[in-house]
Amino acid sequence: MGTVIGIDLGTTNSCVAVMEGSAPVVIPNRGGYKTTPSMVAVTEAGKRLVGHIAKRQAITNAENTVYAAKRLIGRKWNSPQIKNALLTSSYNIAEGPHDDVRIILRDKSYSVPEISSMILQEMKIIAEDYLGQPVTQAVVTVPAYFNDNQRQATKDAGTIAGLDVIRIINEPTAAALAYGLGKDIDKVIAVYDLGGGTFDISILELSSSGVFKVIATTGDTFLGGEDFDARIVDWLVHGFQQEHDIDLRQDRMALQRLRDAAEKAKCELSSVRETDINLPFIISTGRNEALHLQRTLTRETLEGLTEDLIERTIEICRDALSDARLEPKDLEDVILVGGMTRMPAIQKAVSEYFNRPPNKGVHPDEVVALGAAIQGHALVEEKTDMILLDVTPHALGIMTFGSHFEELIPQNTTVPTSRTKVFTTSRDNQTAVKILVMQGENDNAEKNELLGEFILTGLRRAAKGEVEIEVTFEINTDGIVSVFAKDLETGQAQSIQVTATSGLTREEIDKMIETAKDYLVERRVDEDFEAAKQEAERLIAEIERLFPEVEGVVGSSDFGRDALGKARTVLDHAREAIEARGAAQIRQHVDGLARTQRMFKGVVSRAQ
Amino acid sequence: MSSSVATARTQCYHPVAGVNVRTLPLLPEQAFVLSRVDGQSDEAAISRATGIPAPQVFLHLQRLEELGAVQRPASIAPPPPGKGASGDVRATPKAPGPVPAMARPTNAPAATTAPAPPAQTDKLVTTPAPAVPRHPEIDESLSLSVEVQARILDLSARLPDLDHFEVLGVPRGADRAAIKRAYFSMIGTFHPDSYFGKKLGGFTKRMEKIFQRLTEAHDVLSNARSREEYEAYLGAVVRTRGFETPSQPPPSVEDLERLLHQAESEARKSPAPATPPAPTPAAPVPSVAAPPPKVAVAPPPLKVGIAPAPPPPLPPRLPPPFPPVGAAAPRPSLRPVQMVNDPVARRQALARKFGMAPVSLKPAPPDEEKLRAEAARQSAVAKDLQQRYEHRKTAIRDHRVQRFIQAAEEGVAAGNSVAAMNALRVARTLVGNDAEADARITQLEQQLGTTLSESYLQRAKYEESNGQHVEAARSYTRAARGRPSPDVLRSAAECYLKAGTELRLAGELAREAVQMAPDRTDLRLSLAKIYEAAGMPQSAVRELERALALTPGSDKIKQWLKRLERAGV
Repeated sequence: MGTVIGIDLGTTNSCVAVMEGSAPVVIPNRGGYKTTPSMVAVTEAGKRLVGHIAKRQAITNAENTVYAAKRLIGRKWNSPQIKNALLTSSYNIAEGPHDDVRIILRDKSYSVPEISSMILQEMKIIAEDYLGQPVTQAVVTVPAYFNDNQRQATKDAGTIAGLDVIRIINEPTAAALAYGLGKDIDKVIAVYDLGGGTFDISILELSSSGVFKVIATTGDTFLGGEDFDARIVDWLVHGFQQEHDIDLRQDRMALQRLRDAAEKAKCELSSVRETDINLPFIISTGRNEALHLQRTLTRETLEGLTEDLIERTIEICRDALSDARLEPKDLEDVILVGGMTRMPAIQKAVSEYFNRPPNKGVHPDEVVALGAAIQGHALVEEKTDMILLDVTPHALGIMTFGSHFEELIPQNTTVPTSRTKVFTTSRDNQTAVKILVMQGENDNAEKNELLGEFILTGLRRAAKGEVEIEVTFEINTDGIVSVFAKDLETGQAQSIQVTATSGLTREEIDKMIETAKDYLVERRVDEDFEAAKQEAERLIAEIERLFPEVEGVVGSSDFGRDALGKARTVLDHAREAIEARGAAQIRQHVDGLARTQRMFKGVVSRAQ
Repeated sequence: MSSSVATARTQCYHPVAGVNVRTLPLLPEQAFVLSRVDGQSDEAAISRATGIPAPQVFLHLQRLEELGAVQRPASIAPPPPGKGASGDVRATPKAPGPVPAMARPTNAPAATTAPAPPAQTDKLVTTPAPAVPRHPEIDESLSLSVEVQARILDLSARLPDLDHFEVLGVPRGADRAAIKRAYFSMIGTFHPDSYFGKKLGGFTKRMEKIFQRLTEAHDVLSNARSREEYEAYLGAVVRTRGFETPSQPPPSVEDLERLLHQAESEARKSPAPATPPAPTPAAPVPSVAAPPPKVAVAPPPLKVGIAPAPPPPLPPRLPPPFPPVGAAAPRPSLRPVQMVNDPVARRQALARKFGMAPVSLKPAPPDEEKLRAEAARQSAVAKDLQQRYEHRKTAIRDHRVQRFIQAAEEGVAAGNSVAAMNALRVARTLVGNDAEADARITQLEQQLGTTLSESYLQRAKYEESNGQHVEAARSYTRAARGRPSPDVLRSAAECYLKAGTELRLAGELAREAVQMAPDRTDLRLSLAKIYEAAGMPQSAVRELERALALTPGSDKIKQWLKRLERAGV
């Protein structure tokens, strides 16, 4: 039985964990860090960079570095969120073939799931390096408030990365699993999860029998740390504009530097009261005069800039509690998840609203991945009796006459579930109905997310309202939505399994899987070459270091000159091989190099 | 034989004696199946007889067993000691009807020297079925243990009939903690994730259904307010149960005929023909009403679907066709059971009682005189018999009317409206020219109507708040039938409108409401709304105009009219 890893695919940082014995552990990456920046870049040479290495070059390569791809995943090109991203992103976003979004890196277009798959692939490699064995199964987390299209897109990203995503679970739920594991308690808790890009609040009931039941969950998929950063960036840009009358937004590199500085300052202000933002040579004026940006940001200023964002999260908490039919006093613990919850103003607001200090026992950056690993283990392992009962974060229904949204499965319904409703025709002599499956809470169907559609034909010709059609919605344990429509008169039925659209077709995904595999091969070849090259270069350097000395000892004899000449040939060949970037070729020469080096060493030592 | 029945693969169910099937919440099909349960037909036979698919029959039988209406031999008795068993066997074929010996504990001891004492019989009858039946859908190739499969099948079959408490397996009064405990522990068995990656076949769907139901029960019962509402609703359902299913029509004439016939045959068999006619009703009653329900009559080969058995207070009052075990002891030799079913023997026995020679067996003696005298005597006896019989029939009927009225009164007093109503219905059909009884029945009917309509109203409100609009509409309608009110009628109509079905019915209800209170604008607007929804804009306009006449200058109505006019009406 293969190991199942848990991946927290975050907006800004990702994290991978695995069960070791009865406890989950976070797997550090090669750099020793427990989280990896969710960034992907393509260098001038066409090389792909993921994680810290991508982040490090982001400023100099802003146009080809993708960050916060999670904010775009599963969204339609025409959505307001994408319009917003178009304004603020330093990388290029273009329209895809299926009303989806593509990201252009060095003239090549990538779908958003593809970008996310690169991050997932990186997490997979981190886990494989650590475990020393291939990993194929994973539980991946998403914000609780993600809709089905976004979930499907995330699942597709896993598929492209060569992972069988056995379950998508919600981030706050995962956090609760990690919090409750082995505690053997009956408690009602809240999970306040403010991450890089999204905000979620979940109310859960933990039972000592191992059941974790989500009572209510709600959130905002466009409210997170990035919005706090954006407020600081706005503040900096605005100040700079007043001072120099220059809009820093026009310069992508400057914008990226501002963003970096804003994030850094925000983090610092969680522990200190004020910090300096110092960005020399941020931009040059039309007269080629370099301008510098230098400002001091205090904690109070930051809190003033972001007050409404914090208030908004508390409002959402209020909604969640009212959905759960609970009062703040009914909660027995509050867990904070996500890096943003380190901000003192947030901790204060949460303590005040829930009337209790938040729990400090969980690591806000790692707890989600730990929970994902726990769930993965619980699913495949027979001995565990842990069961997770989650809810639908959004209502599901169909569009009826006049773009009205008719809800079948309400928000916060425990899954698996199913509901049935009877509808009638809306026109005289209507012989077919189109069932538009939608997700969302808006009465106006157009404002909700379209998940899928199908047509039921062969209805009897009759006056409107006479023919009855029974529509059944079903969500199974895996979260797959199926919709059945039945003509009650003729018994004729139609159904679809709503495979939410990630914006990619099956063929596209298959192609991407191949590309991802190619990348892995390429990457392995690269690593191979690098290793061989390093070995060869080390030897070459050693030989060259010894060369003058050896020449001094043997250079006087013909044999010696001959030998030196041969040594030079060996070196030249090796250099050529390195030049040709062929790992195998280099290896052929490494032997010769090593012998030469040994001989040289012998000559030198004998001479002394 | 009884032991072989007990171990047989296909088990035959028996009807359980003394169960009042009318009080059971049965579906029409279940009642139909029950009517074919005779202890000799197995599932396949019942399936053939009813035309209902075998798996369905199985489920119905399980449900019936759950309700205590039928039982399997395995649950009835471990085979009695050898002699007793063979005694049973011999007695069985001659027992009237298809009901076998074991289901008629009252019968066997009288016929044989079977040792089974009444106490034991009683105990055995009530023993619940322990064995897990082998269900046709159990699939051993799945990676789900057979026990779990059986539990899943069993529970999914019963789901529609269980209330929230029964689903969770907790008593009515269970506290929140107990409900949560039950729920969380059941999740472990019935959540598909417990068997992740396993081959589950169709069981995943079933588990999901069960899970959904468990969750609903838990969610409703773990919240104080929704629980209170639900309990009130359950109360209302119990009070009103029995009226709604078309499977339980009011007692038909045939039904009564059957009952009367039974009573007549009793009268005919009466061991005291010499006593003067018109027996005081009080006399037989105590002895008949006395036997505990368990050993009372086995329901006559059930035809529940067509003619339901009498309401709860009734069965003890029906004289059993055979004396109960205890009462049978003094005269087993007088009326051996074997003879009862034999018409010739019965006639002979009857004749003996009247001091006559067995007519049909002996050829008539050649003596003319004797012959004539004999004929006269015979006709006199027959006439007398006929008279007594008629008289007794009327007496029994009158007595029964009184009984039913009394039962209805008791029902009203005990708050058991269903039983009361049923009793009244029977009484109503039985009552002849007795004006006094008639008046009493009418009075009781009115009294009950009021009570019931309260319950229906309560129920309707709960259903409406729960989004069960069709159910709510029906309950509102029934409430209005009990105590007519335009508001209740309007509520019924609007519930149908919300449900989007039965718009014609909704229109009728709304019209009725308008007729009751023609001066109320709101009722007319309701009706207009329904007309519009039903695609009858002209009628809607007419109704709106009338409403406007009642409330001149209402902008709302004017705008509405304008909208309809724009739509081209």
